[in-house]
Formats: sequence, C-alpha cells, structure tokens
Amino acid sequence: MLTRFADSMLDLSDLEATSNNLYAKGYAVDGKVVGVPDQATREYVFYWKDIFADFNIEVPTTWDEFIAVANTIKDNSELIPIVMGGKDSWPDYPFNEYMPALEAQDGFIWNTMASMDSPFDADQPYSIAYHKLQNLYDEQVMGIDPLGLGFDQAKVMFAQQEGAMMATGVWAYADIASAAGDNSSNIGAFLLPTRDSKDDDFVTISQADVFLSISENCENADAAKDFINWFYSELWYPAYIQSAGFVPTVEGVEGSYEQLFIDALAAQPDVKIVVYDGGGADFNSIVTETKFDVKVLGQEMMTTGFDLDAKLSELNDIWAKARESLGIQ
Amino acid sequence: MNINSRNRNIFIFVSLVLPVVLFLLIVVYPSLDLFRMSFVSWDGVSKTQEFIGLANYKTMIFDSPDLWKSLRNTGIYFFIHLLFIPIELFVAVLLDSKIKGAKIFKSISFMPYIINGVAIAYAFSYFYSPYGGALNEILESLHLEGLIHNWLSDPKVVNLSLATVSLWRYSGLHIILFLAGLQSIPKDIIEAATIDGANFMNRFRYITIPSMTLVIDFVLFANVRGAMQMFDIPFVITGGGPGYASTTFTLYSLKTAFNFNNFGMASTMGVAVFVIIIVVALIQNKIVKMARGKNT
Repeated sequence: MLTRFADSMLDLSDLEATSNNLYAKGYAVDGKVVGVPDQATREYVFYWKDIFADFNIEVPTTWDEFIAVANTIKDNSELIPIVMGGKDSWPDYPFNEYMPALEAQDGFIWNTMASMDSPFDADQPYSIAYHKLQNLYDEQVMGIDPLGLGFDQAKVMFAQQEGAMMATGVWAYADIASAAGDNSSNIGAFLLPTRDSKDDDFVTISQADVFLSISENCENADAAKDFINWFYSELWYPAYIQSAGFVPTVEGVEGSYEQLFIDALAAQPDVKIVVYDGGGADFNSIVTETKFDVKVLGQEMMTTGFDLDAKLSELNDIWAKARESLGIQ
Repeated sequence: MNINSRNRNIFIFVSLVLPVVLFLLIVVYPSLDLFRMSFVSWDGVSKTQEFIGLANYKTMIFDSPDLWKSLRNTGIYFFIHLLFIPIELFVAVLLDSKIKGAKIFKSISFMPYIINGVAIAYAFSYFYSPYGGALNEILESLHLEGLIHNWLSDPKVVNLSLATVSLWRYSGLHIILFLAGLQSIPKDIIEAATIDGANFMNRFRYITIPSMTLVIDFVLFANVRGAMQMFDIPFVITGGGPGYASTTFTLYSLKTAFNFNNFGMASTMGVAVFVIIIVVALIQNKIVKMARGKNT
C-alpha cells in the first residue's frame, strides 16, 4: 500500500511513536517504516433495528443468511434491502475489495496473488469470494438501480429509512447518524458475515489508515519527528482518538466506541481479525500494468448479463502476461 | 535608427517579454515535458523515470481495449454535437431576425454555459436519479412509463444521457458565436441580394454561410477540442462507470495517472489527444473548404 512512497519518505523505524504503534511495522516496506497510522478502520453492516423487528429478522451470521435476510426484506416491502451507492464505484469496497482477503483469511492476499500466474482459478479464494458476491448481486437486493445512486444519495436514503441495510466503515457512521437525527438510536450494526456455515471461523477485516509521514525533502525533519512523537503521546493521542471514536493504533490506548459497535463485536466474541495490507510492490506493478480495479469490476458485476467466469479467465491471462513482462517470480 | 524608432522597439520588447515568458513557461515547457514523459515509465512519486522508448505508444495502440472504448465514448459527444451544429446555426438565424423576445432567448440559450460545470453535472445526476429523479417523474406523469430507463447505469444509454447534458451546456455558446458571425455580415449585401430576387434559402446558402466560414471553422474546432477534452460531466455524474461504460478519453488518462500511477502512459494519452485534435480539425477544415469550393 505504501510502496510508492518508500523512496520519498524518511524511515521512521526508530521513533518512539513507531515502537508503540500496533500496526506501523506491519506496513513497513523492506523494513523501512514509511508512515505511522493514527487509526484502524473497521467495517460493519448498518441496519435499522425496527425494520428487522418488523420482519422478525435475526442478525445474519453466515453469507447465505445475509442474502436470505435481504431477500426477506425485498419480498415483503418496498424498501431497498441493501443500499449501495454503486455509481461512485468505491462504495462496493467492503464487498469487492475485502471479500477475497476475508475468504482467504489472509490480509496479504494481493501479495500472494502477485506471486501466482493464475490467481483467479475457480479453486482460489478470489474466485470463491467473487462467486459468492455475484450471487448477492444477482439477487437484485440493492434496489432497482444501485449503479444510478452515488454514495451521498445512498447514505441519505439509508438514514431516511428507505433502505434496511448499508455496508460501510465506521468512518461513515457520524454522517449517517446526523442525517438520521433522533432516529439514530434505532440504527444497529453487525459484522459482515462472509463465512459459509456457522462452523467456520467468523472473520472481519481491519486496515490501518491515515499515516503520518515525513518527506525526505523536509528541511526540519527533527522537528517533524518530535511532532509525530508528541501526536502519539499521552499528551494528545488518547483524547483525540476517543473524541473521534476511531479504533486506536497505539498500544495501551483504549478507544471510545458507540454502543452499536460494542454490541456488534460482542455478538461475535470469537471473531478473527484479518489485518488488510493493500498490496506490495509487485502487486502494485501488476495493477499499473493491467489496470486491475476491483471496485470498477464490482460495478460491472452489478450490471445485467455480466459473465464473471469469462472475466476471471481474462484476468488470469492478463495477470500472467503482466508478471512475465515485469519479470515477477 | 532615430529615437522614436528605438523607443518603439523598446516598447514592443517590454510589452512582449512578459507574455512570451509566460507562454514559454505555461504552454511550451509543459507541452515539451508531456512529450518527453510519454517515453518514460514513472509512477508519479519515484525519483527515477525509466526511459522505455515507444513502449507506451505500443501499449496504448495495441494493448488497451478500455482506452479504445473510452475513445468511442468520446466520439459520441463529438458526433452528437456535430449533428446539432446545423440546428444551432438555424436557431442563431432565427434569433438574428426581428422575432419577439429574441434578447431573452439569447440570454437563456447562453445561460447554461456560464453556470459552473460541476454544479450542472451534479444537478443532472439528481435529474437522472432512479429514485425521485425528475426525468423519470416527468415521464411517469406523462404516462410514458415505457420510456423510463436506468439513465446512468445502463451501458447502452449512459453516454447519450451524458452527451445530452453536454449539449444543454454548450449549444448556447455555439448559438452566440453563430449570432456574432451573422451580425458581422454587412446588411447592404443582404439587401442588395434581396432586391436582386434572392430568397431566404439563396441568401443563406450564398451569403450567410460563405461569410461565416471563419466562425463555422472555429465552432467545428471547438467541438472536436471539447469532445476530446470532455471530463467534468462524466467525472461528476457517473465517474466514468459503470465499469468503463462512460469513461471518456480524458477521464481515462486521469485514471491512468492517478488511479494506476502510470504517469508515462497518461502523458502518451495526452500526446494522442493533441494529435487527434489536430488531425480531426484538419480533416474538418478540408471538408469545409471543399464544400465552400462547390458553392462558389
């Protein structure tokens, strides 16, 4: 994820802020800590508790249950079961970007795929995850035209109870709650259930975000390093992260979460957290070469008549060619 | 050299030095650098730029199916605007005559051009919205439910939806340009032709059109330039989607640079835009000249 910046940023390995950070060294590029993340993201499916109660629906804990819940809402109401702002392409990221990593239980799945010639074969996690996704999209549970709505429109429609569920990150909750007004206490959240059966592990994703870095051209590098150390110190960080409601990245610092997120995690006490990497140098080179874009692919999967198997086969071909031309082993 | 002549030369030099320096810095240098960058591989951040010869050009032409799709999408804007140019000229002729309310119509037709393009695009994204969108509501109220479409997500219609917005925005500019051309034609020529018995169509064909070739050339050039550089409308309304269904050439270049970190390839596309605009403009000029030759 940070590979592009490895040459242009200072190494922060020796900072006190880095040694206290739970994620920083995990995102190092060839041992060089390029940035220190200030928060970790978590993904949830927001839902309206009263709508679920009206239809006597339990929070789903497997992928099939999730689709069944959406179908129940579709079959019994005019509501949009899962609101999707697909016109913007990126809002499908909880599905199209994270599902392969969740299926593989491997936050470094892009790096794994970069080391393979045919990572889109039917028995590979990517293909399995995308077939599950295609099943969801084919059920038409995202309204009459999920690609005709932008994220802002979708967010407002969910807040106005025109939709029953919306999959997105913690970061979006403040806006959703604000748009919902007094009704916001009626919003619940659950972790996206991607597992096939209740016997499988329940897996969710977490990604470090908002990295503080220092440019190699910085004229006051020592002052900048002092600032980063201060930012992550007791003097600033705990109060900041708790007021923002984000997941902290510093060891020993407790977050302050809305009750719906505490409830969502409590509902899955054995949840496994996959820390998402975003892809290293080889993967990013292949992306540049092939223009591989999972979110745009997600849009295409929502169009009628999309042939997923043909697409996966085409991706295998261009992937292998790109690896060959880039000399990736 | 006398003092007056020397002062004149100093004045010319001082007057020209700033615009020439700015031209070199803002136009010539970036253009040359764009050309240079089209031969390198660069991710936009790294300190090194690897020279790769014509590899970017080869990939662009032979190995970029989505790029050709984006060029086809761009062509839709070009041809729709081209089809409307005769209509715009006709509207300009109407507004040039002494019809009632011509001034108001002129203002109304020009208004979309002066409104912020991003605001227009944003407004139209709601106009086409599948939920409560004005267009579908209008069709429903007229009992034309059969015409209701997914205007922004159906790959078959999305480019037409977007080109209509472009038409709404830029037609007024073309009309005003044609109007300026019409008003520059000396009235006595038209009066003389009328006295000699020329009817409206004859006057239009043998006086109006030949007198306005410069304006027509300009509008045709503006059309190809505008189509090849079409960006704000698809970017704001659809983001180029679904998939690459409404991605224009310029939007594709931008994605290549900033989404896929391939600034070398994006520069190659910039050079291609430059070449395509010149080639199409030259072909158009040739056609206009041939048509003019036939008329004289």
